[in-house]
Amino acid sequence: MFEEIFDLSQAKTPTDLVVKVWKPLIEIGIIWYIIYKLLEFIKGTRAVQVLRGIIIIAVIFFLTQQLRFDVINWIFTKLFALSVIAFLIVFQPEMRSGLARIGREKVFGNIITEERTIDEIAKSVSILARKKIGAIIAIQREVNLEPYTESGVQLDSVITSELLNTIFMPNTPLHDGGVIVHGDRVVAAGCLFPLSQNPDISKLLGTRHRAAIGLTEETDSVCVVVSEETGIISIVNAGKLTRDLDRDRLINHLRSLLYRPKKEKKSHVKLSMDRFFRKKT
Amino acid sequence: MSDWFSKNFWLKLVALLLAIIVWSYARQDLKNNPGYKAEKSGYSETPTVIPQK
Repeated sequence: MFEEIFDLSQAKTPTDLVVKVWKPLIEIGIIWYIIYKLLEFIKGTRAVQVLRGIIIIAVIFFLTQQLRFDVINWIFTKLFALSVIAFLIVFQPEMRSGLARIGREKVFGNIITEERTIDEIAKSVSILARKKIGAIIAIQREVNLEPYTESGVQLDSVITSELLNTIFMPNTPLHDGGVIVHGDRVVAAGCLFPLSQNPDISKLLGTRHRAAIGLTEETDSVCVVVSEETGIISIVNAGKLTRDLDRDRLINHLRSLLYRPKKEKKSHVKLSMDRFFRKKT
Repeated sequence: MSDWFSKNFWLKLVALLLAIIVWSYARQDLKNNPGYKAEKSGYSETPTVIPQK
């Protein structure tokens, strides 16, 4: 087995030997990292049950090949070819969100730049929680939420707690949907978000929470949810729900996840002058 | 460091087993590839026979 992996027979010099040993180790390490990240990603999704089945079939396939059961091996080979197509169809949503996560840039362009926005959201959410009015607010980061804004009513308005409270007021046309915040503005209200397919989500959580988890699984946005039944405030990021927040904790969470204050743009001349004077002192 | 090992230990182990299986299959496949064999064998006076269709 060792010889099979490292193939030391052709190594003539010690450098050759080192290369022959290290190359396979590095290659296996890279493959291990990719597979591990893949497994970590699908852990907690419905793909995990199917994956268990696939691993068992793969192990049987490996054994039949080693034991030279040619007929069974032939059947498995044909089945594998078909299962690739089945896999693509069944796991299309997981693959879409996974690829979106890989392709996400970490440039933090379109997030909250004014502290007032966070304060307005927190103020509105705490009022809604006290009155037990259900609400869901999605805050856009890198991934564009335009497909979801199209399902609602476009607003493009300055964010205020009064506006948010009015939107979520029961028996009004926009209350039964989500609000999308982009930068420091309310982009749309009454929007529909995708529901999460995660089987591990507690049955105590309703459709509103499931939609918040679904949206944050598919995009990098952050959702703030107020439960209609309990008035509990939750924040959802990357499909993970943090519950039972009070106003201060919500502000802290939002600030750490979203707040990037505007930086003053300095010209090159000003920067070099600053550097020059700093050296002098 | 021990935290890193203990966190998702079984997942890491399964990933390692799968990685070894995938790697050995890929390598076996490469070794059976006549073009790869010819490339790896280096220079020789007698030309490597590449089967033609």
